[in-house]
Amino acid sequence: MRIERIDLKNYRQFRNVCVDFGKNPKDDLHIIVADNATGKTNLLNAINWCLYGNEPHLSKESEQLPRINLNTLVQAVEGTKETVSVELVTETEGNRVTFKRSEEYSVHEDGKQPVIHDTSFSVTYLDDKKNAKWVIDEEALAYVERFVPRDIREFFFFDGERLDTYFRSVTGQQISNAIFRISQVDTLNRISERLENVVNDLRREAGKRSPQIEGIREAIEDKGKKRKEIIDQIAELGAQKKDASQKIDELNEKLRSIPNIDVLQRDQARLHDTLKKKEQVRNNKVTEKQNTLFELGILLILNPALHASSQIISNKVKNKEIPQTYDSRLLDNILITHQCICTRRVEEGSSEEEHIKQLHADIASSSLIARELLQMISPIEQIKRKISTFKSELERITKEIQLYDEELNDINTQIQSIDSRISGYNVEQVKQWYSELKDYQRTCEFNIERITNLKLAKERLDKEIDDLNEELNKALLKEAASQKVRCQIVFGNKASSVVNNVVKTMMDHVRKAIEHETREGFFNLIWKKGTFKDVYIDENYALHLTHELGYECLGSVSASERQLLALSFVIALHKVSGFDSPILVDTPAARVSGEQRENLGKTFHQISRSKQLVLLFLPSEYSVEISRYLDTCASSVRKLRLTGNEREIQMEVIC
Amino acid sequence: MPSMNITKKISEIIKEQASNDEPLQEFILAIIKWELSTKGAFQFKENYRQMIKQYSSKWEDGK
Amino acid sequence: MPDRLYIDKEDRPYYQKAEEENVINFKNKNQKEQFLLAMSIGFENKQKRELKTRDGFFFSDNLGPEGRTLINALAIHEHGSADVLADEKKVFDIAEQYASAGIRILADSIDKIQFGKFDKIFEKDLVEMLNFNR
Repeated sequence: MRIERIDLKNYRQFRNVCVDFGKNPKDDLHIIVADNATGKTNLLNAINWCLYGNEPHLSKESEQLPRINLNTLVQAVEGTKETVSVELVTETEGNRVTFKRSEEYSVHEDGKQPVIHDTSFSVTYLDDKKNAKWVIDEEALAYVERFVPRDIREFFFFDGERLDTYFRSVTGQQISNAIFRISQVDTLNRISERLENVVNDLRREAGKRSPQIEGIREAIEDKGKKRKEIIDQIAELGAQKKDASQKIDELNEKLRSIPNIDVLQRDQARLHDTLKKKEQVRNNKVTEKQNTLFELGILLILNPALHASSQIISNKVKNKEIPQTYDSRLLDNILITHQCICTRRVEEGSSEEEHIKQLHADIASSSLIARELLQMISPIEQIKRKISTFKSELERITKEIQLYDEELNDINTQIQSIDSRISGYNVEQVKQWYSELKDYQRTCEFNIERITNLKLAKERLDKEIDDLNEELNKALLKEAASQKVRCQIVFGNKASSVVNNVVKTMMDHVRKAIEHETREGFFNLIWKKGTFKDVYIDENYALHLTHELGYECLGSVSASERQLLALSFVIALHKVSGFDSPILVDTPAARVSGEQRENLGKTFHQISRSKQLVLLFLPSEYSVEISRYLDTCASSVRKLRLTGNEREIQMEVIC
Repeated sequence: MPSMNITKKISEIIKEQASNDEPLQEFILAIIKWELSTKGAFQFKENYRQMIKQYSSKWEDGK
Repeated sequence: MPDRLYIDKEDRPYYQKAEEENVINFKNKNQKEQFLLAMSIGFENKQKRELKTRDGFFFSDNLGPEGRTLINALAIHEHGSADVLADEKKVFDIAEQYASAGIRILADSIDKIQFGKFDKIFEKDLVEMLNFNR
């Protein structure tokens, strides 16, 4: 299907413009060049408005203005009606289908806003017998859905600049929906649902003839409902899982070069703890050393005095002065009895008595000295031993302190290293990312488990439904009047089963085919050929781009690379589906430069050989790298410019 | 891998899945054709029942 | 034997200073130990000081055999003979005078030496002393 012509009347800047898209024999490529605010994007809006009734690409300025052309509005006579219309004439396999939307406005000279009186949308076509048919309302909308379905129109009529953000915001679910629609797998699903619907009706009819049959039918319907619920649940969980996987990829990308700060902080806390404990032990060692210095310091300082005392004691021992050998009790006895040991009387007050008293006193005194000296012998020996071990003891403790100092140094270094690894990051933000990553991973795991369980439940239900169908078949066989219905039910079930199998097979085929075409297209377009390793679409229809080094990098590539990938994907979608609708791109080369533009031009040319391609360029985009190539092969190159107080577009054909 | 025509591929797979069952193949292809055509988007039951009746009868005769 | 050993009342602030600076764990030593260190420092520097106002510091019973031996040895060294041991008061007086001079020398060293370096210097001096004595 291609657009032959667009007729615009009073639609915004397009007061009375007809854009003809006649093709040349080889290509169906159409270029329109226009400055910003000329109305280039409103051509895209016109097609959207015609087909879907809305204008998704309106600028802020245009949003404020009425749809009706301003010159028409200003020049209209009070009380008259003016019509805004966009007519899209398309052609498919020789048949012409025309989509037309119009709005009737009543206008006022006093500057009031124009009022819409009537809107209409219609589709005209030729039936099999070449009779002209005209449809409105739901039937007309159905034709639009056959042309370019509303919910996937962004794959056909799109803004090239927005394509850059496409893969940031669109989910695997949206892509898979688009693929299903485009590849007509949605048609097969619809057929499957409708078959089930009709077969259920047939069962109900059969059930009216027999309570037993009705009972089985109800059971099949019940289980069918449960099966549907499970399928829906699986789809929902699958979508959640896809979203979570995407988020996981994005977060992993963000966190790729960022350390796990949570873990590092825990390590750091553990190190601080160890540091504290070792510091305590070290301090105890220092105290032990101080005590050693204190105690042994006293002994060492007084050692000369101790040595001298030791000498004196040695001499006295040698001279047998200590311990004392004489007994003072003998003298005590003499003084008491006044009788000497030689039996001579010792008179009181005599010189002999004085002599004995002096001797007694001397002995008493020397006894004290001797006792003190004797008591010094053992301590002096102990002190000598202590002094002898002083140096080795000191060395031991000093070495131990040194070892602890080294360990503490090492721990401090590790703490500082962690500090420097963490610094520079917004710690709270990073911790939040890691926390989110964990949550998403949990969601994924949980959903995988639930999906597995649900799939098992669905398998069980499938078996039960099969068994019930078998039972129904047998019951119907017994009823002679139900043979035809039975046959139709069995046939319908078989058809439904085949269709479901086709869907599964097709989905895989289509996914792989799109993946292949996307990969080919992307690596053909991309300038930095050595940077990327692969493009693939996983079974959840999420698009992945892997770096040469093996990691996922879709979230971090440049805007132009992402645009090229998105474009490759869209083109792949079209190629694979064979969906025969034109592509219209506004600002297709906005983020692409240099060699990539030339490649882009070649790709556009290639596409246009089998599909109508309409490209709306800014003059700065339609640079020499692209124009020198496309000018020679395009079916038409036009330029738009504003006239009439800048309120009307004039189209100039360049070639 | 060459680019493929989806409808053609669907036909191939249908023929594989419903091999040796021509009425079934024909029925499914007819339903698909009907769905893809621009007619009768919403009044599907009548058409479906009609086609099931037609092709199931053929199917049963062929058994 | 006298029942206690005395310091000069004016010595108290010097003992306090040594405790505050806590050189070689001074603060955690009992008064006997603090006295003996002061006494040994006085001996090392060959300085004595008469006590002006006697202030009881610790009981002599707490001296123990080692403590007793140390003050006896000091007295014998001072007197030149063991006869001094007959006069226990004299023995204590000698110890007290050395201690009084010693604690002042200690406090003075603490002031002069850079904070935190006392222990290292004390250790160095002791090791030199040990090597010299060998």
